[in-house]
Amino acid sequence: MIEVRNISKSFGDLQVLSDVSLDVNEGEKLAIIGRSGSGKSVLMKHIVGLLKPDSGHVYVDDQDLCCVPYERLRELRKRFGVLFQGGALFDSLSSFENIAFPLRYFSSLSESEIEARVQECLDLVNLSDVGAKNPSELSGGMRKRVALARAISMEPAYILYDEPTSGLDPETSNTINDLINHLASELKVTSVIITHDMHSVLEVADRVAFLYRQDLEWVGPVAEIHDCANPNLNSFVRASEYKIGDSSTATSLSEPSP
Amino acid sequence: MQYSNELKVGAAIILAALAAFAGIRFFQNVPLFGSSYALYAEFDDANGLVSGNPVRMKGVKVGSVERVRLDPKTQTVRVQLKLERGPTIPEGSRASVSGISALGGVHVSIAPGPRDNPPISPGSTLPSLESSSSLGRLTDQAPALASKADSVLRNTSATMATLNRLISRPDSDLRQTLTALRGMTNDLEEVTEAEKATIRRLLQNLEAVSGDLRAFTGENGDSLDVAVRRLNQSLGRLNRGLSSFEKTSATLDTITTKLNNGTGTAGRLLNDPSLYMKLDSAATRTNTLLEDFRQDPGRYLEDLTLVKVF
Amino acid sequence: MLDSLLAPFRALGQYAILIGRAFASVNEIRMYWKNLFIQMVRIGIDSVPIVALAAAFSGAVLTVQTAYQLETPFIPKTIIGSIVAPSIMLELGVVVAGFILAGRVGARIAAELGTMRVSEQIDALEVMGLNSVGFLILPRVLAGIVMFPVLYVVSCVVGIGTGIFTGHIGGFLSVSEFLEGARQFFQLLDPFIGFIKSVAFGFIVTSIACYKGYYTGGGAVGVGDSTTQAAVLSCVFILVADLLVAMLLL
Ligand SMILES: Nc1ncnc2c1ncn2[C@@H]1O[C@H](COP(=O)(O)OP(=O)(O)OP(=O)(O)O)[C@@H](O)[C@H]1O
Ligand SMILES: [Mg+2]
Repeated sequence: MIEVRNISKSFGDLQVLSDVSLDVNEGEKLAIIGRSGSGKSVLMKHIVGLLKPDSGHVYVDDQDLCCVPYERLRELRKRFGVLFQGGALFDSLSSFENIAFPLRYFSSLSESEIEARVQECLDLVNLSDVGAKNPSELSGGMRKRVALARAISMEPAYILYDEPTSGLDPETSNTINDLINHLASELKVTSVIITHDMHSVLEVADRVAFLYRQDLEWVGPVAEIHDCANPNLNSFVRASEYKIGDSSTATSLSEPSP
Repeated sequence: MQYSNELKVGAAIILAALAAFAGIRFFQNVPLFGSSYALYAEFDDANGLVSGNPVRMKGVKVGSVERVRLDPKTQTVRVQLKLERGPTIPEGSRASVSGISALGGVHVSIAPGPRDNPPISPGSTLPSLESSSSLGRLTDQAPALASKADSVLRNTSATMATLNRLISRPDSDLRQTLTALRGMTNDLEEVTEAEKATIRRLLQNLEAVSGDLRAFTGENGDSLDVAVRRLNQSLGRLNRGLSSFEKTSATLDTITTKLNNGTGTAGRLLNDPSLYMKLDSAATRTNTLLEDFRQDPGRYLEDLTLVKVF
Repeated sequence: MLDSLLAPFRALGQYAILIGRAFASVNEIRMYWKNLFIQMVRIGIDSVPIVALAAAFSGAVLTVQTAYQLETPFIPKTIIGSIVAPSIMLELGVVVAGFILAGRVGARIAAELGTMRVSEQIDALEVMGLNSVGFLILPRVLAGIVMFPVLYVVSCVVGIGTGIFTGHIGGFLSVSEFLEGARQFFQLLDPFIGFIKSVAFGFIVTSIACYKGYYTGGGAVGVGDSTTQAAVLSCVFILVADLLVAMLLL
């Protein structure tokens, strides 16, 4: 259970979040949508304590991130898998070593078990044969998927995805969406998915939170996204619809996935 | 072959530590694994000597100066030397500071003692060449002198015994002359017996105390030097006296032998004025000397105030 | 105005807290063990060639110039050795190595950590539950403290070695003249002070670079700035520390 309570954050003169409150329930898949620069990534970093709010609190499993000692915070963080927007792969290590990294430090697996687990994660993101490559030798989309594989390798209770499907072709996007659904249903992972991709939202999300400017303007079940009263959300959704409107998948938008 | 990082780092650290150790030993001029030993030297003036300066014997480097310290009590400079194990420094060696400090050439030079002397024992103090020159020479001569005196006196005793035996024979015409001689020789024997011990003790003490003596050289070096030179002269005189006495004794010996053998007569002895004169004068001289010594041994050491130390 | 006046103090405080945190995580050193040795190899062993090169040239130049300056018949040639060897042990060996390493090691660390910062790799470490300060900074600073003395020894050996060699090859100073002079004025204090300096410089170079790199902001330009500042600040503080050690211990 993640509870965000009235957090505000500004960088110098720039107010990024103001008085944002949000709950993420156990086992649910929450999508955070919003325009570029609306503060989605900043919100995500507050959830894992990488940024401290100017005011307000973030509770993870009833513990206030701003006030727990650093050692406790580290323990809490181990429950998270985080996919950063830019991947944040360690560029000095191979893909394999990147994925094995948390396993080496925080699991008691043997070398062969680690190998097996890494391969398993690579398979999940459709990248069975890039283990030996360095991040710099991978395409942007591949990097993202290796990063995703690293985020899930420890089988965390919470996974935060920062734009998991951006930069991916529709087919690979679907694989990732399926993976997110799979992890949630099989391993009861609580997921927070930050995305611009309305298709992805409809595919995976149980609930949607809409950030606009500094505010969390709308939170609700994904089914209600089309007939909400919020004009900003409406225009955001419509923009996606318009974009995809020409394509054959346009219909899928009007029938939200279960 | 791929070496692990641990191995590389460990090897690098150990190599560096070894290099540092070896380098320091190298520049400290200590043989890498051999040992060195310490000697001390005392000087009136360090002349700019500092630690690290070389120690040379006959111009060859045999060690280095470890520490230079001014002894506040005696006002002498006490220098600790570190010597290599190789070349041995004989006992009786002396040290001096030579070279000019402004040019960086200051060093301690060791004038080796007699070659046959045993090597000096570690930790002992080398006397300084200048300040103890006369005393040092004296000390060097002392053992020889002592043994000489000893043998002379032993000789004398033997001669006296023979003479005594001769004189106790009642039929001798020489009795009168020899009675006088006996009187004298008894005297002589007495004196020599007494003086033998004195001289010995004196010489022994001289040796033992030469160290203490040196401590005083700072204060009254000049007067002591004079005193010591005089003592040396006195002993030289004694030595000369003893040797002439030795000669006399030898002559006495000859006479006694002749008398014993009966090859000569008393008349011949008495008719041989030169021989008689010789005997007489030698005996007289010896007698005077020993008498003199017995009565006032202090005269021979008159200026040596340190005699009180004995 | 006041803000810019206070900035150095704020930076010093931030630096001190960061390095303090790094050393506070020393109890987890087992966890960073592998990292420590990687850094020791990168900072120490990989720097041996460049340090040796710099030391060789400074040793040779020092010998030639000292010989040139002392070219009078009144001064024994051994004096050259007694100037060159202590100079290298006391000052030149360690300061030249320090400057070289401020460039090589300091810039490298700052660029590395700066890039990790701007590409969110440090965040990624944190989020995994690692102590990024302990993980990234402690091994580098410890490696600096341990390996700089090693490099100092290399620097001295090579510097004095080339000094001797130069005199020999140049024919103006024989090996034994050099050694006699060097030995005559050798004091254990000289290499000891050099050693202390090398430890201090190792700490200065690595900790400043870590600080600059860890708090890099703003993309490639930020990384560039951090790198430059790390090298420059390291050099400045090497000079300051050099003076301080000399004043305190000589
Ligand atoms: N470390 C930072 N320092 C200063 N400003 C920042 C920082 N991080 C984010 N910002 C600012 O906060 C605002 C929100 O950034 P954020 O990364 O959360 O956007 P976002 O919603 O994730 O956008 P996108 O969808 O493009 O990723 C931006 O205007 C950005 O300039
Ligand atoms: Mg973002």
